[in-house]
Amino acid sequence: MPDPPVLQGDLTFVSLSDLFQLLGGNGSTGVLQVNCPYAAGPATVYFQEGDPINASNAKSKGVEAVNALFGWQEGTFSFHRRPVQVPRTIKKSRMQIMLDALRLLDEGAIEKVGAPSRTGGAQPAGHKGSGTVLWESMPVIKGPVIDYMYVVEEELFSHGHRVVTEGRHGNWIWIILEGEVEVLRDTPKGPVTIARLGPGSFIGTFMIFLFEGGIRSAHVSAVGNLRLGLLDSQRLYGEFAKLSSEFRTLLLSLSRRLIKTTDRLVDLHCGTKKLPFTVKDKEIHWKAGTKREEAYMISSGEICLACRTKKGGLPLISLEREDVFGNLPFAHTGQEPHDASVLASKDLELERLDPAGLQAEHARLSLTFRGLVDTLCSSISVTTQIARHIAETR
Amino acid sequence: MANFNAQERTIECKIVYYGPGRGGKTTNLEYIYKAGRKYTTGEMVSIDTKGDRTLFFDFLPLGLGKVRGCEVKMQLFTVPGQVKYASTRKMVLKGVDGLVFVADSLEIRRKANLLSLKDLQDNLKEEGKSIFKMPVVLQYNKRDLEEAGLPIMPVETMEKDLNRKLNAPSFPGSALKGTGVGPALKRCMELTLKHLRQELDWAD
Repeated sequence: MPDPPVLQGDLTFVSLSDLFQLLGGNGSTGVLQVNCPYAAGPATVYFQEGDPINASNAKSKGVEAVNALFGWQEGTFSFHRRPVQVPRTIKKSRMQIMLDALRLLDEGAIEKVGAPSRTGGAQPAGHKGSGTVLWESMPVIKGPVIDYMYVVEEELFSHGHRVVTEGRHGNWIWIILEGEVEVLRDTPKGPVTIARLGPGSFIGTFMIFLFEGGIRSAHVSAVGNLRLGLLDSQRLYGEFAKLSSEFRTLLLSLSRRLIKTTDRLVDLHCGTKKLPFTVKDKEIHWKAGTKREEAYMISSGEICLACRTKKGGLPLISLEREDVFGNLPFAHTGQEPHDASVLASKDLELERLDPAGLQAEHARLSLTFRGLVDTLCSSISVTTQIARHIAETR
Repeated sequence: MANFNAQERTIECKIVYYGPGRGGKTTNLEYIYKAGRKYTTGEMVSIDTKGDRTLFFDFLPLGLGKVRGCEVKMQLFTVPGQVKYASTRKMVLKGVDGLVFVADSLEIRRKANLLSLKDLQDNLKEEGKSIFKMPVVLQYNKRDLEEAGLPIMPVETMEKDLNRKLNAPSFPGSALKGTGVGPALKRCMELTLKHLRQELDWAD
């Protein structure tokens, strides 16, 4: 049984430089482990009396491994106090490492790793697909780890095979084990690629848990050879049923949010001017970038999300009764509260949710469920980014 | 915000040298490091950032006495001037306790001084701090260039430009020759400790 960590937390709250200074100031000896869902694997840094002396991650060792860590925009860390018996491969002082790494980061020599909305879309897609690509630098959304516990069957597909057809019925979810897929929508201007998914991502959303929710909202095609894992639906239903009603509402609301954001993206691509909601009757409720930390469920009325673009505000989607909005630390959608304003109708009535409770429930989810939430939020984030890109360039 | 290290019984404060690129921040710190060798602990960290260098070292100002039985350790930093070094600037300015703004006396650098001061104000604002409520001292650097016949601004002009609203202690000096360097740092450290005492309600 490993010893419990003496310090742990989230990199979005405590930055790596703060953490290094804290461990340094205390002259700590032990092992720091850092996990980032978007990196190839965890990283380990050994500290001797406050100074990092050795480090490794999936790709590199020594000071290079420490430098790479400064590009991790989000993730979790834990520090275990224990005697360190590894050779000293890092000779620089703590402050030198930090200042040097931050310089390299600012000069672009260290890759930023994080949700697409935080890094500005790294990892451009490798293959060319069959639809019009809306944005050349569209990132491939990947998941952190593959949890085989839920996989009941593996399926192989060759390049170009259509795995899912828009409008058809299907209440199951796959996880991508190997390869990539492109997600397409039919539009009056022909098929368009709206997302690319890679290993660890999921095909299908929480909508399958709704009685009438099994209608596929997009096509999915294999890009290159593809290996999918079919998930155990019974087991997924079982876990979904055990969640609190607030959390279930949140998951369904996020799933609807993705569909609405995608609809809006398609409208923007086709040049459709009419919005499916009104903006004029609404007033600013939360300004983008607000530091507010609450989350709400809408009981009545309507809100509209508008994101900032270089050409001004872009009305994005509307949310209605039973939809959730606000600041949820585990759900980076690239929309409110940081990157989109909330406009509210006059008759808006809200029910306040408990973000800490939701966060705790999220932490208790199975790896598969957490991965589903991640794929969903990353997809919303990427779709929002493409919509913004289209609005800015056309 | 100063860091209290219970293990070593020290209070660590952060003093940052800010100012336009090539204005003499680095020369200031290099002079302090050389002249005050007996007060420094550890090596000076020097990072080559484009157009500038970022420096750091620890400084133990013995003359200022202890606070509540704790040794006071000053961490001295410079900040790279270029806009693109945002992460470095953010880390350096985070939790800053005192500032020395190094202004360039050369006439041609008048605008650069103003822009840099404005930039400092904005960056502090991002950290939730106000330049008017922080310990700040100004140093009008490169006064020695007058002897070389280069056009420099009168101190009164610089006061009017930079210190009208700030009303901070100011020191003419030459970091290259070491004049005005010690007094500016000493005053900044005194102000920083005074500010900390007030803020933390440490009655000595």
